[in-house]
Amino acid sequence: MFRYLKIMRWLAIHFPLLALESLAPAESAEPLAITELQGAQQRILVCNSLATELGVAAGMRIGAVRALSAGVRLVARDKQRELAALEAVATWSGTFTSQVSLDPPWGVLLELAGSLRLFGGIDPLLSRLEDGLQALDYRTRLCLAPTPAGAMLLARTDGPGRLVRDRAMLHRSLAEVPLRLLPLQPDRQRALQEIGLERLGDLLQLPMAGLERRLGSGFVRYLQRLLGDVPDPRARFQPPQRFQRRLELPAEVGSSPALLFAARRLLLELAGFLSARRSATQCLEWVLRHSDGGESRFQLRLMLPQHDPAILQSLLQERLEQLRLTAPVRELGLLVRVIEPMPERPLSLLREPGTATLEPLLLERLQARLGEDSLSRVQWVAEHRPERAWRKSTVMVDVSASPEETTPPHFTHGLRRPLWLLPAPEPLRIKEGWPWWRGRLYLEPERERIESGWWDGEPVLRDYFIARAPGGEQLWIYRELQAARRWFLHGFF
Amino acid sequence: MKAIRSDRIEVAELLRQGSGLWRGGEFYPDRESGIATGFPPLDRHLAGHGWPRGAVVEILSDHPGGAMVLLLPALATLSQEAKQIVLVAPPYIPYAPGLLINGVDLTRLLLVHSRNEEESLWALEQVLSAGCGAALGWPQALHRTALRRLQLAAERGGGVGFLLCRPRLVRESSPAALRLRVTAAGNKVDILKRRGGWPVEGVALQREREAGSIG
Repeated sequence: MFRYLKIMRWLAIHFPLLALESLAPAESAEPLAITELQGAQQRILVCNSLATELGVAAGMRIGAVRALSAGVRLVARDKQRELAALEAVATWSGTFTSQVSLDPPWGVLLELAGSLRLFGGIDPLLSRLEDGLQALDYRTRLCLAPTPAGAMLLARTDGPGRLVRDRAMLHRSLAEVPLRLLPLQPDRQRALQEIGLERLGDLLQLPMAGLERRLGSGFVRYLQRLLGDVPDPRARFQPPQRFQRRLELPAEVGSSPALLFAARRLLLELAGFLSARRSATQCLEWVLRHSDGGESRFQLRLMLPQHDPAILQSLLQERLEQLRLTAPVRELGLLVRVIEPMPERPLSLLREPGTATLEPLLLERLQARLGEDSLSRVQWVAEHRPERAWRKSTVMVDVSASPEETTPPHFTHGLRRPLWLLPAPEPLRIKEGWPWWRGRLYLEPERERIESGWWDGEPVLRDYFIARAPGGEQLWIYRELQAARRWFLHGFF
Repeated sequence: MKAIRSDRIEVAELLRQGSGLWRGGEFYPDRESGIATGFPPLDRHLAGHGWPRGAVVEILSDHPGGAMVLLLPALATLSQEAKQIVLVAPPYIPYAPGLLINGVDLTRLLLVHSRNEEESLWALEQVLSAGCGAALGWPQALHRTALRRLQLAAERGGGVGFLLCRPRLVRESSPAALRLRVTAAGNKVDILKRRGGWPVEGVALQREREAGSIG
């Protein structure tokens, strides 16, 4: 078992459709083909299944595609975009191992020897990886082998994902690889075919000295790295310090659900980025590039740091439903500048039965939809002036009651305070010598004098009464003791 | 003889289980208990002897004051049991000193501000289905579909949704479990609709302990 772990460790991930898939997945895709300059001709490099159905195939000339159908969208290959996608996957892979290397144009290598125990062995680890890659919407072929170059070459050959357990098995598997997959110039390829060689096995039976003379020392070194005869150190991918990613949408998106669909990949990549750092974030900045050249931005702010892509997606959905798209969207970008340590207790999507507080996620959802200032609590403040005896406080997700809030103020004995306060005292009319509100007010005999605030320039000098209106409403009213001695309504019992 | 007795048992059983079937003037003693209103005369008229759990209650009043007096004891109890109370778009500022004096644990009180009626109903539905102890809303109108959604949300979450509205805004039929009218002073209640009973008028609200600080 130990030897097994020690030998088999490089996982190659090959993305056969990356040129296509490095565009964001679109909900309702149109026939799409990626073109590339091959020799002097623009030819099809790869196309999606809708284009295949129309008869488009790799290697076809653009003119031939145009003759087949005018409805196929042709997009020039963008190696920069492919590299950005590889980097995003590499960042995401940080969940599984810290040893990640890029293998452009269409590959990523993970060294997994150190991660096997953490994930409970090779099978659980591979299935987690495969699920994740599928969720990111990439078609992949995987191979786990003792050497990075060998793993990558085997991943590129057709067939299901494979496990190459040791060097003997690596030799046998490599021997079957067709020579056309090797990194050789076309004229060398032809030369090998002319002497009747088809597979790598045929080549490996020839003496190395002869191969070096015919195919160059670089190629022989490559063969040695394939087989593990010489070391093959790989540069470790350095994930960026902040998460920044743009996705071009293959078709214009005019609705929030389609936008959410495209945002999913960015959220999954972000989750990988965050989880590799054991961190979370409270602020996601979104940029929408419109087809008319304009740009709109919005922020998804959270009360607690989050890292779970499902949670982020549900909160983004609330937010997107409130968003009015001014124009169709061409490109979607996500920027996360600040990350924080992951909260110790993960917030689950399910409510634990009997929890005293509302689940934090509910609060997040309310805030995402209703806006940042939509949630508050009220607190008692030790202050005699009624309008200052309370204050709005922000909602903390973890409610820990502070003592001053749970114990009523010490002077409450016999104190009468209304349940509702008006945002500002409302002047009362005086009719027939009495304060008037939907009719004449009857005042209870007790009066409470409040005289306070002389020290801060906003003094209050009032006599408060409880009054009853003809309809039965109980009012909290006061009379100024200075100036015009006017009457005001301040609250309701 | 035997056959008749077994028939009777079946009918009684049917009545006990039956949704939509009720026996006038009598409550099912095995029914889940409600949240005490704090007004024993009112509790006596309510199935489960209190506000129904997992249901929507309509409270009609010409003024927000009266309805709050009616709900205050139950809100205080729920908050002291560490249940969340959510006020969605309240008409005035819920006054911390007044609530605190009357026993409401303010750390359990959440205020949700909304920009329109649609958002308020959405928020009510969210907090009810998430299982808050009580949610209070002041809708402008009560549409049947909206009420139905809130009722389902309350059933899911197990809390009680109080909809406080003007009497003139209310139509005859409603899916709410309970509909009351309370005077502006908060001293008298008419039960307009209830589960397991006929309407009752003029129930006087008297607190359990008259030491209460409300007039």
